[in-house]
Amino acid sequence: MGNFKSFRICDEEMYEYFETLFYQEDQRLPAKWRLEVAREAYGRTERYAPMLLGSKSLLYGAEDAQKQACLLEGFEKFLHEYVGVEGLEELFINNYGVIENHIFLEHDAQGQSKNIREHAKHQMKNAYLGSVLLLDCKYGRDMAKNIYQAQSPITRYLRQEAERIFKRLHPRTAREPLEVELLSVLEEISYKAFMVSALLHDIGYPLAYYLRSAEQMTEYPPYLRILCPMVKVNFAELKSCLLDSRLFQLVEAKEIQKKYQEDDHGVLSALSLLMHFYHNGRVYTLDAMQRCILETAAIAIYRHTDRFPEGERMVYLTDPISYMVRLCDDLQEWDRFKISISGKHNYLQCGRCGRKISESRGNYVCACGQNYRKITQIPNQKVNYICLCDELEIRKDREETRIFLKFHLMKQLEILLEDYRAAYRTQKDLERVELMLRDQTLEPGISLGFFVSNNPVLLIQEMLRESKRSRDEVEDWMENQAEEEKREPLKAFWKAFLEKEKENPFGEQAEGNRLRYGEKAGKFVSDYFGEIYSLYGMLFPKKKGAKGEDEGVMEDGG
Amino acid sequence: MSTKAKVIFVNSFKGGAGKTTLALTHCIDSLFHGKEEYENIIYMDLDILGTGTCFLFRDGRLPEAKCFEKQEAPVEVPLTLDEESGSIYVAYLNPKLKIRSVYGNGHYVNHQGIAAADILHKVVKFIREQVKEVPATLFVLDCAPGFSDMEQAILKECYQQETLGKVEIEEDYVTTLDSAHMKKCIQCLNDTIKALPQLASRRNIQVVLNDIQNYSGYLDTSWSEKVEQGWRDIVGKMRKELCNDNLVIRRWRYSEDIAQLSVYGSESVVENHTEWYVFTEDSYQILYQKEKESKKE
Repeated sequence: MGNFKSFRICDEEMYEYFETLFYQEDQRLPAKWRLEVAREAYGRTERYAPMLLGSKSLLYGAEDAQKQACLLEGFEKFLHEYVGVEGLEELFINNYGVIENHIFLEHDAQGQSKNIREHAKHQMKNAYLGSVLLLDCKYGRDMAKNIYQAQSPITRYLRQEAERIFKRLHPRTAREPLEVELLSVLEEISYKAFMVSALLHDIGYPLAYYLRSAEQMTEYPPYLRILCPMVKVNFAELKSCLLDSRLFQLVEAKEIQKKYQEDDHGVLSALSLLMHFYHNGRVYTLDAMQRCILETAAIAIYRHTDRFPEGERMVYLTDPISYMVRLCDDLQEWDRFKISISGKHNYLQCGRCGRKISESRGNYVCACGQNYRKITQIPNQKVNYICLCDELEIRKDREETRIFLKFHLMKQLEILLEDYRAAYRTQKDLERVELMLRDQTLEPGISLGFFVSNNPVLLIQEMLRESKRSRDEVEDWMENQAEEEKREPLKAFWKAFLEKEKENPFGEQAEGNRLRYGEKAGKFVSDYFGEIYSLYGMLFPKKKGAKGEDEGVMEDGG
Repeated sequence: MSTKAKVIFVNSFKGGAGKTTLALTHCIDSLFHGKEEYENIIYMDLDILGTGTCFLFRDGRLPEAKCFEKQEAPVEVPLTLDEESGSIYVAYLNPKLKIRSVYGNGHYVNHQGIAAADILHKVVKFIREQVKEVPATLFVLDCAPGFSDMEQAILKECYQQETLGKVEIEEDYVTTLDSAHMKKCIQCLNDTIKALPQLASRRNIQVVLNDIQNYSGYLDTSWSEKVEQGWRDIVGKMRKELCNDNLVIRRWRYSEDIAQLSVYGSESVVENHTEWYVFTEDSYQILYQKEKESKKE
């Protein structure tokens, strides 16, 4: 790649990004997109601050909860100053966090976790990723060009609306708008509709959860005659309210109804958005731009959960906005955790020999003789935050945009001990995204880079490759370990690794055959986890803080 | 031992009036002269505009790591007076606030409303929990000068607790004898009364005239009659202009020791001079208190 732009996509960057974009008169948001009419001051985030901070602190910690509250206020400001649809902020500044704390712990009738991932913050992260792609990588302009071609009902609608909006903005202009003028309006619609879609695309999750809970309740005899059995509104009633909406005009009602019957969260989110404005007639007081944004967002939200038969996929040219919402949703993997409750202990490394300490009934014994005893009297289990992706990196030049998803190598080794097929599932998901990206009219095209694996040998090879250290360096390091107690286990591990490298007993890079390979892979990792950790520490040393102390977790070199 | 908590709300409408000194004096005086009325005595520094509390205690006593935003709990400070010892609990805001122009952590720069809402929530939660767990608690709240949303919200919460019979409240507004300061105090106090009309008849307001310039001490006895007349005039004016039925006006006598050492000394930490932070009958006089009609059965 020649001249390229690079963007690091992670939570810390996200907070900084939007503080700059919303509070520092950033040129990336064109001044002409800002509404001229001043409205009464916003303040919903501030009023809800105690609840937002309290509910988010539980899982994210106090500091991140504060940052999320600040970010929500930033979005509220953006909607107030650039979109101007009063009432939108109610849909994302509310008690979602409180409900989500329940959803995380949802288990099915067999006691298996439903593996629900986090959504409230995910919506903001989607908005972030999309904002970088649309504003910084200029895909907003590309989307406008594709919409302008008007190759589908939705793009024809958008183009017509853009013409109407242009004429309203320039009432004295008798002529038809020029292409460049229409493209400008379409770019504005694209960005604003995308942002609204991203921020609201999963607001239906609590409803879906409620409906699942209601279903459980109806099987619970004491509910009889105490609770109202009618939990969900009849589809016909919703349809009659929303017949004027673009969603119901562009999508078959039967199709919408089918998703509705399945409690699909995409349709629940879309209908929630529309009902919020149709139910009381507020939608008819919106101006052309505002209504267009709302209607387009509802369609994108609806479509983000569309399922396609084998070989089919969403097409960018026919609906760029929905496509981008879907793409960002699928790519928002960084720091997106699910919760799992486990009775397994933490993995501990022996301070004397560097091996993993084995645990049995509260006794922690190392092969070198060190032993520890757990003396906590109150029984407990561990809450794990399962997420393997740390951040993305976007590199863009004139020819291509490459998005690297950085999956943490040590975490991939660790997860295969409890969930062998996690890497396999992630691989399949990302292959679907790659299929979605192939041969689209996006300019420049987007491709993905990532490494996921449940093959321990390949993971260790990848560690070496990313660290750019040679094997000789590794072997010297092992040889130079001062204490024999540490040196010998490392050498034994290295020998075992080299043997496995020749044999390749662990199958494919992302292997799906748990029966055949799972136990072998797990045993190798379990036997040498301490040594691999030490190697990892050598390949990717921790950054030192200002006072010389180690700071944070170890990160792959990337 | 008291069965009810007490909240003393110490405020002013101008910085440097002696608010913090008065607040600490309430705490320490109660600790040593309060006849063990309260099980816990808690000083809460809520001055988000720039707190001086950390300078008033020994180095390292109130570290940043234990500030109220982080711990949501106060720090115990042992004190000794003559041969008696005891502890007060100090809840203080992040000392780094003193050198910044905005409140809260760095990410709150553009979100001061949220920062204030955050600390307000923690303060209210703490007070509620303490009142519930240990009813015999004295809270002395040292506020930022003025009557912002935070002060109003805390006051409302405290009066809400009063309605439930759990708390009694005293609001102290400190002013110097500077005429502009006193006028401002009267005007702002009346504004606060109007801001909370629903509490008008219940508020126990105490104006504390801090004789920081030592008018009484500087003048020789030939002026004493004039000085006394001056006090009567001040009190009369305040009674006339302040719209509160429960008004009390006090004179707080100038402490030469504290004033001198705070100007050029360096040993003015509370732990070293606990004796400066107690009231005497002479130093903290009531100049006016409305007589309350006794209820006849």
